[in-house]
Amino acid sequence: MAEPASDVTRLLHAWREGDPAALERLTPMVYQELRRLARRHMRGERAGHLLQTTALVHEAYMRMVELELGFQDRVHFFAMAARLMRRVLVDLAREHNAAKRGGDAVVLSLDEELVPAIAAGGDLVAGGDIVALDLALEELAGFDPRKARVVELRLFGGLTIQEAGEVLKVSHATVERDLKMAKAWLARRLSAGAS
Amino acid sequence: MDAERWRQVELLFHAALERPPVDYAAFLETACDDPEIRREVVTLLAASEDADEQLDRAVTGALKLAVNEPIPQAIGPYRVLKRLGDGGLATVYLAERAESQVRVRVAIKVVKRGMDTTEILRRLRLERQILAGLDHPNIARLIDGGSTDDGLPYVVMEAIDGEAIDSHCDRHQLDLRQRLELFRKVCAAVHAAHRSLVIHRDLKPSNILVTKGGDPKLLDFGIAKLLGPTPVDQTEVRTVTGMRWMTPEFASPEQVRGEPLTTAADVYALGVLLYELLCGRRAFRFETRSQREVERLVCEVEPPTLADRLSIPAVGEPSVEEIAAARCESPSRLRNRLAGDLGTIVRVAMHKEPERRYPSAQALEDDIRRYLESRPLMARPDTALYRLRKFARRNRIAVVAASLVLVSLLSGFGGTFRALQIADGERRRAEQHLQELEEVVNFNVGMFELADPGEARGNSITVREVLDRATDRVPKELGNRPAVAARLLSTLGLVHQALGLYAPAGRLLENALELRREAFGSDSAEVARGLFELAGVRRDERRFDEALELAQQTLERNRDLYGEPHVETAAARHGLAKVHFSRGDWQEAEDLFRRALEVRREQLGRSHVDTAESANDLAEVLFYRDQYPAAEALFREALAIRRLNLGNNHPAVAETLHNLAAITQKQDRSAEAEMLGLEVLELRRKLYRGPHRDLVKTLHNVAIAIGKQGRRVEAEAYFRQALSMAEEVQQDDPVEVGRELRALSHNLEGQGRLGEAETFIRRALDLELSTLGESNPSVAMTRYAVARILAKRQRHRQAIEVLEQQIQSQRTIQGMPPERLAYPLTLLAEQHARLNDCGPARRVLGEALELYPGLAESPSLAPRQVTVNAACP
Repeated sequence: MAEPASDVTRLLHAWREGDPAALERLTPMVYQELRRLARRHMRGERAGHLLQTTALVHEAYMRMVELELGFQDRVHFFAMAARLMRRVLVDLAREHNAAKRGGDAVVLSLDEELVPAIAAGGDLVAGGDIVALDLALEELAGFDPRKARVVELRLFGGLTIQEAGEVLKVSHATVERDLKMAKAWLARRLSAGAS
Repeated sequence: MDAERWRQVELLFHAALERPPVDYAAFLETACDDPEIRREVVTLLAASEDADEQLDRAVTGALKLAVNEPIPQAIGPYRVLKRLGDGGLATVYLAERAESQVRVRVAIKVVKRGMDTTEILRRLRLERQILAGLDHPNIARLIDGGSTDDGLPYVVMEAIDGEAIDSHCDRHQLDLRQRLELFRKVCAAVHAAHRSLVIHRDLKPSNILVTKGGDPKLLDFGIAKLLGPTPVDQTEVRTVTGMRWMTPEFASPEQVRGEPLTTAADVYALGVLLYELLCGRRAFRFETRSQREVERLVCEVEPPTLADRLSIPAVGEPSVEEIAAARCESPSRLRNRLAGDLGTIVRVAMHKEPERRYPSAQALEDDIRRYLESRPLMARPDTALYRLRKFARRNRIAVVAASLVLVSLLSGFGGTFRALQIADGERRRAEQHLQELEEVVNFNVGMFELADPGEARGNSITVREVLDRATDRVPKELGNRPAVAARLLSTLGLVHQALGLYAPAGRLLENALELRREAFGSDSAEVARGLFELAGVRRDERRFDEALELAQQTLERNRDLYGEPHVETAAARHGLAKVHFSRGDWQEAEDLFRRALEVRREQLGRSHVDTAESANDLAEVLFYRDQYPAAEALFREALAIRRLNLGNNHPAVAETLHNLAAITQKQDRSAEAEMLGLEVLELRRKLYRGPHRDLVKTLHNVAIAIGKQGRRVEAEAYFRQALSMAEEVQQDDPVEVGRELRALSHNLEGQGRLGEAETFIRRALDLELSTLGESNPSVAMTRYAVARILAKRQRHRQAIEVLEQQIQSQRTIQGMPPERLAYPLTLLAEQHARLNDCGPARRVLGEALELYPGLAESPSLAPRQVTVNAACP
């Protein structure tokens, strides 16, 4: 990491105070960190640890932010990280899938270690899912941006209902309703695309 | 999306969620009168159920993609596309090589740095050598080999575009028969390897991929072993039989113990694989995978029977219902099917003692084929009772007839005349005597065994073989008694006919006819009878011109022999009418059936079964000629007579009842049709006790009756049953199976479940394309349905592609009225308009109008014209 952790704290604060340049500098840092974490998890250093976006975002936060921030800054960090997490995952999937342009999943097994990926339907399928999900979110944002954002915050940033309500300035109940509806819409959209 | 509509959908969605799911439909019915919005809400509610799971899967799946090692740009002359997988010893990449314009995709297995020990390098060399010696369509081919710039050795293999056999089977919901057929191919590939003196030693689902075309491919001969003389040092090979080279779940007892392996080890692994494919669970589950536990379980403990294992899920395993559903079966039926011969096959393949297993993969495959053909297995002692059960299952009539033949052959032809007359007469009459004859059958099967004591184990007799044998014997042993031989041959012919073996039936009846001429003279009643029988089988063979000629001859002769009016002449006339009916000469068929009916009523009385036959068959013609009320009256008459004479539990009663249900439906009395249909269903289920093409038709009709009453979900269940049964009994018949696929798709389309509808209609299309070819009306219709669903799903570009293909093919179909093209053309125009491609939209619409000027008045086509005109003024 190029910038010391304390800088992240400072940038976060500046951003919240309304300095757009702060966000510009912050974004690549968080993106890199999330990507690094995601990759590191893959190497199996944490075998048995359930891989979750929430955990990754929180870990990035722990690593990047030296001083404990106030609730507001914290929530803002997560909100930003949620978007970046989404970006990271989509990018990774795109990179991964770049090779299979035009073709469908090609799977060839070698040893026992490969079996889980294949038995679970193959990792490539999942890679397609995230890209499809990304596109579907984009589509949803086209006519109901708040619902798309609620999903993003929850799914990629691991924000609680309360935190998401804070970011979007709406009540818990609204977040919950939005989430329910948006998930149903996305799920339907994804199954439609899968067949 | 329209904001106001979206808001409405949202309100209804949340309001519905406050109610229990069963009330959704009723609530929406009252709360909203816009069917489009209702559908929108219903599909959202449905999607809501597993939305969390689906989205989580997308996210966690993506997380798993993060890769940690740089992928080399190139390996040798191959450009690396991506990493396929990481094993402990090697990494596999997907790569390609441009070879004279054609880009060939390959899988390259490169040994990992640090793993390039002498032992591993030797194994890789051996694998190369083994693969080079194997050339089989179901084994991944070796293409090349070499060393990377860093000196790491690699092998290049055919890249297989496929998925592991177990998940392939589940994801495509292959039923047991399909699984067994697929598994047979695996056995054949393994056998081919064995013949090349190679033992795979690591057969398991992940090493058997199934391509999109449904072909299995064996992979990874990484720990394979060469038998016999080989340039590779054998002593080394034998050292590599320890634990780390195998997958314990699939390892045979001798493998676990580290003993020298033979092909029997692969047969064992095939058994384990079959076990899993059939019952959805692995034969053994290890808690710790410690050497001791593995050895104890594999070497000492008998795996549970398939049916037992199915019923006992271990932690984390799918439920019985899920497993059954993935095999298109109900849990109880699946359990029953697993309890019989399949269990035996698996048990023998997985025998703890190698020498008690099937002697080869081929032998295993053979037994599966026997199972699929309902023939006795090799793997089971051939008790008379067991063989009899097999006989009976195949064809009850054949059992009777075959036993009669046997009686005649073995008991010196005394006292068989009465019996022969039964078999010689109509199929239905023979069935009536079935029960009293079952004792005789039992006796005769035993007799046959005694008659041929040299019968070796494995050379089991099937009905077919009995018939073949009898066919052989009759001319040899009865050359000097043409009258008896003629009767026997005729009986044999009719038995073949009943079994659907029309070609041999035709030959037998032809021979019988010749002998009748010899024995009784050309003008005899016997010869007329022979002509009649031969005409019937020619009709079944679809050799209609010959059938017509023969049936006409029969009628003339009977007229000469018996005069008019006479029951025999009426029977001949009825036979001729049936030929006309099959040819589609409806007017002739109707006239002849009428005359036959008249005479039979007069001569036999109004309540005779033959009268009922003519009434039923005449009504079928009238059904096709759209004379519904008249047809219905005749069906009712036939039904009453048949019930009177035959009782209720009889195939002929079921036939007429089925027809009556159909004609009721044709007259839009759906509720009544449903009731009748359900009655037929119950009756036929009782009569057939298993899948049957008649049952498929009844299920189909019941589904239609229910669907017409708006109960689409209920109808869906029947359509699904019809489909799976059609696939079971007629999987090679594109017309019958295709019809069920289309019907189910149409039902789902009506429910707004477009994704599923598309899946089934595409299956129908694939099936029809593979068997009927492009230039076929049915294929064109199915394509149109595919396009219509795509259009509804707003996949306009895909719809355009399909429609253009349809139009192109449809133009080449002979006799297809050109104005029919208006359907795909208007839909195509509409798709272009939706994409705002006004040029093509207008052009295509113009073409449609030219072919079919009355388009604007057609209720189904006019709206499309309106859409195009609105979008492209």
